[in-house]
Amino acid sequence: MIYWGLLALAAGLGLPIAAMGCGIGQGIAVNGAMQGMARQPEASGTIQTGMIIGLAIIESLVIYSLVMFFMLQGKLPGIDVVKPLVEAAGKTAGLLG
Amino acid sequence: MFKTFRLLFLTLLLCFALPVLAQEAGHDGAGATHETTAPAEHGGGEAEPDRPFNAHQGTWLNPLVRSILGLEKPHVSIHDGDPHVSPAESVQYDFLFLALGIMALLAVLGVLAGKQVKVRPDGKPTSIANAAEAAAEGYKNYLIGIMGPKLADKYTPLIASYFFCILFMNYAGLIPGLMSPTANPNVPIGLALVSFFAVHIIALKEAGFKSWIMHFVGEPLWLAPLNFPLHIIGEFIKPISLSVRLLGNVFGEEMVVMKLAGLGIGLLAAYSIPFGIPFNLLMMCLGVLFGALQALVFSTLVAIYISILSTHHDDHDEHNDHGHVEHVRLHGHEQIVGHPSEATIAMVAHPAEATMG
Repeated sequence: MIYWGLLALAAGLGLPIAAMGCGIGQGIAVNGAMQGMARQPEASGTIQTGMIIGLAIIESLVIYSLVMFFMLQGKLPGIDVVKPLVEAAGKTAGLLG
Repeated sequence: MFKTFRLLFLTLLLCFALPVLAQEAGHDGAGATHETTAPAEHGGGEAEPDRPFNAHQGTWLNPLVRSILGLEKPHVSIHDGDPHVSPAESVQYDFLFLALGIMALLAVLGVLAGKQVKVRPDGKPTSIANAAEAAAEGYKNYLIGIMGPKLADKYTPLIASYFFCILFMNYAGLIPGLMSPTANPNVPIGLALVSFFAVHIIALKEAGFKSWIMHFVGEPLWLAPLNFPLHIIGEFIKPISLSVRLLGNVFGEEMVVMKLAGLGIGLLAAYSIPFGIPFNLLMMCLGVLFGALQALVFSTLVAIYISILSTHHDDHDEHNDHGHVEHVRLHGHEQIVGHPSEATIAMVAHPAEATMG
């Protein structure tokens, strides 16, 4: 029961945490690139290419966690597995009678 | 004006209607398949119709492809000695068919454009030749900024094929009811494997065996026992990260489109209205951007890997404490400064426009 609960939490929370880190990282990268472009508009092509590659590399870390999310999601049980467990737990706690 | 408007309206209507049909077909097919598959396969849980990488039905192209290839019979494979029978519905060939179709389309377009360049009558290019030429030359100029003119001259065909192939495959997912071939793990892994072998063969050919092996040994020779395994692992990580990046981006986008279409249909289905609110249209607009971006990133990374391994090891000892990407950028920049052709400078100033053109 605790295993399923922790699994559901991991599947649900892992990706948002990774996305949070990715957002901060990409924000810093784009910030630097934009400042560079504003200072030197003639170098904007070079900066843009580097920025796009950097963004892709930062983003790939989140993609790994997306793949992990799909793997964890495949391990999550269906309702027919969870329902008896919940009922049993409810019975032990005296909630469902 | 009116004609354009009508065309746009018809396209939008198709965008709304086809996901509904696909959804309906998917539900029926999944229900039918569920009865025939062995339940032990699914770990006791329910067989979800849209389980990732394992959709039982595929797109509407799948039945068509199966009937063309004559694959309606159940698929029998041997596991540990005993035969394992899976129903014909669970065997998907639509992604393969779509990928090969797109490659064939690109090949035919290329041959056609090449032929029309040759027989150009009055010095003016035909429109297809003109478009192909602009695309190829724009991409080559973009590559010159990354790899330098010598490598770019030789390897533009390979890398530009990657770009246009992945671009068309990504955009195939925007056709309603179809899924990008790159959203199936087999296609990106195949593309990345080809790039893996290509990178090393090109490096051996261009820089020679000594320079190739010195890239793995690393700079301070006494740290070689540490550096060598790290570099070897890094080489094997490269194709994995390339393929997983492409797969994750395209598959994620396709899943979001599917879920949003399902949401729009489900909202109106409560009032038994037979079409949906196009929530997916916004995501599909983003998909146009992401598809081009992922194609650009994949091909650019292949170009960078080639140019890292194909430069002679002695050339860039002084830059060794920079990262690889940064280093290649510096290197490319030096080469641009060395050969300031007008097209190159214009290209570096506006790579996006030239690439899209």
